Amino acid sequence: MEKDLKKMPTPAASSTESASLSTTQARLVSKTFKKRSTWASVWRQLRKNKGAIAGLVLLIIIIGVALAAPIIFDYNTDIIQNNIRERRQPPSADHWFGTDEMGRDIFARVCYGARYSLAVGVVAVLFALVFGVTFGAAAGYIGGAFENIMMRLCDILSSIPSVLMAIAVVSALGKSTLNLMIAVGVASTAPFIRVARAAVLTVRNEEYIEAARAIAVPEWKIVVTHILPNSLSPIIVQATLRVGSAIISAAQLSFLGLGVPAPAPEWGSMLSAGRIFIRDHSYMTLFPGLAIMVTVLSLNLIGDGLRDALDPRLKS
Amino acid sequence: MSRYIVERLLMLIPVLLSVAFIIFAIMNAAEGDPVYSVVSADATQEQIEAARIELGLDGTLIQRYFRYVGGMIKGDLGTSYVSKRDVMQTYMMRLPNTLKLAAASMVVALVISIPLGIIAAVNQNSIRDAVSMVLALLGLSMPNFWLGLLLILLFSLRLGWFPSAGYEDGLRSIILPAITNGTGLAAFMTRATRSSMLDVVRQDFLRTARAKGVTERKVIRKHALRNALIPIITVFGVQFSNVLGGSVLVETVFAWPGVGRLVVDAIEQRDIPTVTGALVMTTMLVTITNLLIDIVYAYVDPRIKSQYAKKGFKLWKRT
Amino acid sequence: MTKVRTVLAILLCMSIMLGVLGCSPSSTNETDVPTDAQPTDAEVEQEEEQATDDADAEVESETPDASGEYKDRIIIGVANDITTLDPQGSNTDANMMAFTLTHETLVEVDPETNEIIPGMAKEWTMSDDGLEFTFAIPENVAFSDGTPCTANDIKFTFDRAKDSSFTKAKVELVTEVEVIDDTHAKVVISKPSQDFLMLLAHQSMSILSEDLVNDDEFGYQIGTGPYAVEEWTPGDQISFVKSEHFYGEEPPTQKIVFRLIKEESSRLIALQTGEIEVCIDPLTTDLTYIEEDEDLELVKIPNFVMLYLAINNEREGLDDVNVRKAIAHATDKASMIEIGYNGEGFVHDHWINRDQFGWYDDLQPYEYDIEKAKEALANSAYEPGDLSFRVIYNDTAKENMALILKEDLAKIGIELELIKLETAALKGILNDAALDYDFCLYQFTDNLGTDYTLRNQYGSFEQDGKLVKNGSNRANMKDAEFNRMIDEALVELDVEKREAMYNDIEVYLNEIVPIIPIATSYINVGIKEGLGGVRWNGTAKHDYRYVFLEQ
Repeated sequence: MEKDLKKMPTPAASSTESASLSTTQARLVSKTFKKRSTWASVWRQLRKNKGAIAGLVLLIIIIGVALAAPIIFDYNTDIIQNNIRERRQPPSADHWFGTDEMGRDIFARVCYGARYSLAVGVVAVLFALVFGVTFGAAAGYIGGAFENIMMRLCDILSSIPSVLMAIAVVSALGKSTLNLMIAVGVASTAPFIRVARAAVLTVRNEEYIEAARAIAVPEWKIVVTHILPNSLSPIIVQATLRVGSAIISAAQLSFLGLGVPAPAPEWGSMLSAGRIFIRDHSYMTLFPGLAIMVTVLSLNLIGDGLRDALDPRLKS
Repeated sequence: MSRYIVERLLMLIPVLLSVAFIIFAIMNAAEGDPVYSVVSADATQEQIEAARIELGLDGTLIQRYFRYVGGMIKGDLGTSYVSKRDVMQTYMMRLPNTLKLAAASMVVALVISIPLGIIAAVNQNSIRDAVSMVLALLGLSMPNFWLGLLLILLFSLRLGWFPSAGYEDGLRSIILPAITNGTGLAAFMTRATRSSMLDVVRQDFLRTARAKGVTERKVIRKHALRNALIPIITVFGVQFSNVLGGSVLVETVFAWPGVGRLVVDAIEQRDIPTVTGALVMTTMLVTITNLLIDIVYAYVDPRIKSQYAKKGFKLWKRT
Repeated sequence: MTKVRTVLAILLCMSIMLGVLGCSPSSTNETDVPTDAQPTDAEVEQEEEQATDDADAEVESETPDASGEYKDRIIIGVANDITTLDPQGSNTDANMMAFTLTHETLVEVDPETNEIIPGMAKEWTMSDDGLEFTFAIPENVAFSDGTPCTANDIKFTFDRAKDSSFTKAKVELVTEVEVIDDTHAKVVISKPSQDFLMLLAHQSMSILSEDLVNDDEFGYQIGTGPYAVEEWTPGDQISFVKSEHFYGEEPPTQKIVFRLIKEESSRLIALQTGEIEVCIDPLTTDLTYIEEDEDLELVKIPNFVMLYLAINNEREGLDDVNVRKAIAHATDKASMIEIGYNGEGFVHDHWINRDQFGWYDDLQPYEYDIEKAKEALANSAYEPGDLSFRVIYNDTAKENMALILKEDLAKIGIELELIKLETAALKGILNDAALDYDFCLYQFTDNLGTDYTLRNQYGSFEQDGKLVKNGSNRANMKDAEFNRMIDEALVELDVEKREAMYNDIEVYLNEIVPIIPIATSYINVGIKEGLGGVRWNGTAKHDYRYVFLEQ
């Protein structure tokens, strides 16, 4: 089985978003993961990666800003209150990032917006992770017709362009922050199903699993206590990278007017509101855009770092 | 091999039926009766019922679905609720624009990613590697519509080099949308190029080549690049669906009348036949492209081909 | 061997790429195929003719010859998509603009004087009792495919209009259309109406051909106007070419194109870079770019687009007139204009549209005053904090206006939740019999006479002993007294008396406050210097029939 997996082609339709990821995974998961000691070594690996550390630092700052925002700013007066007389002011000492078309301070809104973007990204990915891993692991473990159906469903989900899928879901459910999370989550479930299934497949015939089975450990317990923890690393890498793309997807939907409802300071909707003023007031689009970019970059740097750290080939 | 192709093509049928069903269900899940978005406020009950029948909105969801599928099998994707035009025809009018944009974006992505990927791999763990990878990641981390806006700001408004909207100006029109779309793809491709180059660089035949005294540059050019093709083709396949549909934001920003915008506009107008039809067509294109890519794969990598030949293909054992 | 494979692989890759690139030009040509599913023979012929015309035109436009003093092709950048080519199939202004080119109505309204002027009917008579109109059309009127147009087609159009939910309100009074001979038709109405001819001037009452509509699924897109539809790519653009069979004065421009560019700033940039000749509705914040540009000209037309807050008068809380008055006092119209129209607009306090007959100058407006709003709410059955409502709307400008309202309503203890919807979903909710909304920021555009405005906006009719609201009565107001007042005013022949009656109706509505009128504004259009011949229209249905651009 394991041998097969290495040699089998990776048909494009069923490989994950990033090609290198899938090849990496195949090798990666073929080695049994040793719990605690491995985490320490992952951290050692990660520490050597300057990019990942930079990403981590950035992310911690962003999370800090998100946590501190409600303490520093009052939602009702600083974030959503209109101030028509001060609208569309360029950056100044009073308004570091300028003011938007309703006279609201863009700096305060960008800071506060981190809460929305991070929340949407994380919840959407959690949604995809829970569903994807459950179905993927079940598919890998049970096999047979169920597996076959799940994988076809995966193919279907991934051949519908994810943005369009998310747009359709939001327009069906109605506009709200929760629905945005669900829509983005649904659109990113397929890769998790694949990763989880692939991971489970590689470990399910290992000796210690056979041993557990031999002593009549219940099936679900085997999956939860033995198989999943040993298939964790590709799932973690996938999740980290997915949070970044989920944030972008959410911003895209907001940009099309399908995201977090006004007047909440979500970055995508700020971009959308500012874009018509791009000629004279480009700061309205510049700062929210930069915020998205920095956040997603930090997540991608960490994700890449984690992948390298978890990749046994790169250990010298 | 040919059996494999036939099997894959047969698989298309259930896939397309399911896509139609999923989209049908989603579009009908929205609140309110779609017939009211089509008729006038002054419509009488009879007129509303007449419109319902004319639009095929009568009957249960399942009945409507089977009616739709009945048409789909005959190649009839229905008629738009709004424009009253044939959906297939409308889709075909938009498709060339999207394909043009997709191709141009791919070219941009290749131009960026291959050099970056090679530089990164050859100088593994050096500063050049880091810079290349961060550059690639930057492309991935930017919301593409935002990049599009910035490009318009600089190249259309400030410098006036390229048009900001439309597609009439030939090559000049496509450059900005292609760059916008291509940078995101480039990130995936750079990654793919780098990691497959790394695989190759470590392999024995390269060591042998080096040992024989062939220069580094020649080795890379001759052996390594060829092997880098495989992951790039894969990325092409994986990203194709997103290029087809996902460029909707770029299409919005640059007023590029492609398939993505068609779908978004139709969703906005709750034009169920157009949404379903366009997504079914897109899925079909994506699936066929993926099949083509698998075939290309087999040619590039002889090991894969021999596998098909020996074992046939087991659909459910793919990874 | 490996080499061969490599080459093969590269070739295959390239062929995928090239295939994608290469197939596009040929497919683009396919868009020249008529969009109709089954064109009639006549149409096919015409398409071919047009195709060759088109080729000529393009050559000419590149090398203008001495005789061509006008540009051959004018491209108009529009903001809203054309959704149907059936005049009776919708009532959006974006669609109507196309029909002024391709079709004709019996009579027209002069956009400047608001008077009825001849359209297809060059003369008409009204019987003494005001119930019979006889229209005479020229003998040589023909549809753009050559089919002659007769009085029979007028009858057909009116009959068809009765069946369409979009046009039936306009022909409600018509009891009979009698074909006298090929060039004369008599229209009989049930009661005298001072505004009847205005309704016939609406583009949705464009004359259609009975034969063409019955024979061809898309026969309705062929009219007797000076232009014919050449090619329509829904969601992108529509082009018109001169009709070979137009009987009137030949238009100066060979080809007119409406190109959809949704992004306002992109549309203006397209005008500045010369990609289009006319830019409808640039952003109000961008108008200075047009004024500063020597090659461009700014046209400002006061519009008849009235923005208002529709209140569902039957909702609990909103059925209390004092609550409605409180909301009226809490509506900061000036700030909304500032935000929504960049300050360029007029506060609207009246119940009919600007400049309409019956406008009452001494009407007491509900000025923006939070204290008065609090007082009004105190007179109602509700306490501050009791009420919370939802407002629906469909675009960003309205969203910003709703934000202002939200803040002001919060000050008097009414909570407002903002719900942005897609246009179709919004229409769906408004049209759905369930009427599941509290407020809607909405607008109506019309200049079809005071009666039509009042009847549509606030009127209702009796059905099975109950009052049923008219379709576009978004206030869901059902008031028998009001219905009686407008019915009386409609048939009054004495102009002064009639005006006084409408004044009274304004005062009556002012007490009920069924909606909150907010503002009207300007239609802004950016054009290339030297462009002329357009009859600009405050209802946004500009008439481009004789547009030209001097070379």
